[in-house]
Amino acid sequence: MKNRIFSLFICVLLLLTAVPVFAHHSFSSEYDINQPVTLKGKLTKLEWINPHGWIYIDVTGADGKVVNWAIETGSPNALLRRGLRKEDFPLGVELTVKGFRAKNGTATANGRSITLPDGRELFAGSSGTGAPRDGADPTER
Amino acid sequence: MHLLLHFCQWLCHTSLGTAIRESTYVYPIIETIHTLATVLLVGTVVIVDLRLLGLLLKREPVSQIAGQLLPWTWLGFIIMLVTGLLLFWAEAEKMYGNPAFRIKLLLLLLAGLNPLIFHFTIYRRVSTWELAPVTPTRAKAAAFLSLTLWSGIIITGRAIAYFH
Repeated sequence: MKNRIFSLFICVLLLLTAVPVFAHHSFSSEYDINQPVTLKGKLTKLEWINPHGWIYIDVTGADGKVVNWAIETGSPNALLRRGLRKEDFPLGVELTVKGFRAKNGTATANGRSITLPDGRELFAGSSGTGAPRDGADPTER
Repeated sequence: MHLLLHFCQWLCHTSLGTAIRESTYVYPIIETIHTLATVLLVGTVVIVDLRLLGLLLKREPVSQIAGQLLPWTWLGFIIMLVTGLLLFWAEAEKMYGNPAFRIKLLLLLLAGLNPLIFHFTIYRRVSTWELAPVTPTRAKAAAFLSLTLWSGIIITGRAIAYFH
C-alpha cells in the first residue's frame, strides 16, 4: 500500500514536471527584422507604463485611409535613459516612428526610434534590435 | 469569471496601481526585490528539502535545521507576498488573462498545502526519524514535491513576460 501511494506521488510529480513550451517574448519571435517601417502620424494614445510602453498614432496611408498603429517601446525607465520624457508626448503631437512590423501582420510595430517635432530622434528603448548602432542606421556612430 | 475580471480591471486602474505601473523606478525596484527575495524563500525551503532527501547536512537533526531556517522562510514569504501583490496590483488586468500567472498561482496554492500536510502528519513524529539514516518515504515525497512545485513557480513566474 505504501509503495502504491509513493508510486502515485511519483506519477503526479512527473506530470508536474512537464513544462509547456513557451513562445519567446523576444524581438525576433514577435517582430520582423525584415519589415522595417517608418510611420508618421499624430499621437492618439500614450501608455507610459511598465514593463513595456505603447504609443498609438494615426497614420494616413497612400490610399488615404487612416490606420491606428500601436508601437511598443521600453519602460518609463528605459525611455528616460534614452532622453524621452512623458511631456514630449501630448495627444495630437506629430511623430515619426521608425521600427519593425509585427509578424502577425497587424498595425503593430516594435519602435526603434521616435522623432519629435523639434527634430530630435531618440531611441525607443525597446527590446531586441532597436538598440543604438545595430546596423539599421549607417550614420550612427 | 466576469466578476473577477472586473475586479482586476478596477484594481489596476486605482491610483496606486497606476502609480506603480507608470513609475520610473518603483516598478523595477519592486520587481528586483521580488526576484532577490526568491533566494531567501526558496533557498531556505530547498535546504530543508535536500536535508529530507538525505542529500545535505545529514549529520544534523531535521528539526534543528528546519526550526532555525523557518523564520527566514517566513520573512522571505512575506517579502514575496507584498512585492508580488504590488506587481499584481499594477498589472491586474493583464495578469487575469495570463496563463503563466494563473498556473503560478495554482502552484503556489499547492506549494502552501504541501508543507501544511507535511507538518501535521509525518513531521509530528520527527523526533523518531530525524537522525535515521533514511528519511521516511512520506517525508521524502513531500520534499520532492516541494522542489518540483517551487521550480514550477519560478519558471512560470519568469514566463509571465512571455505571454501578453
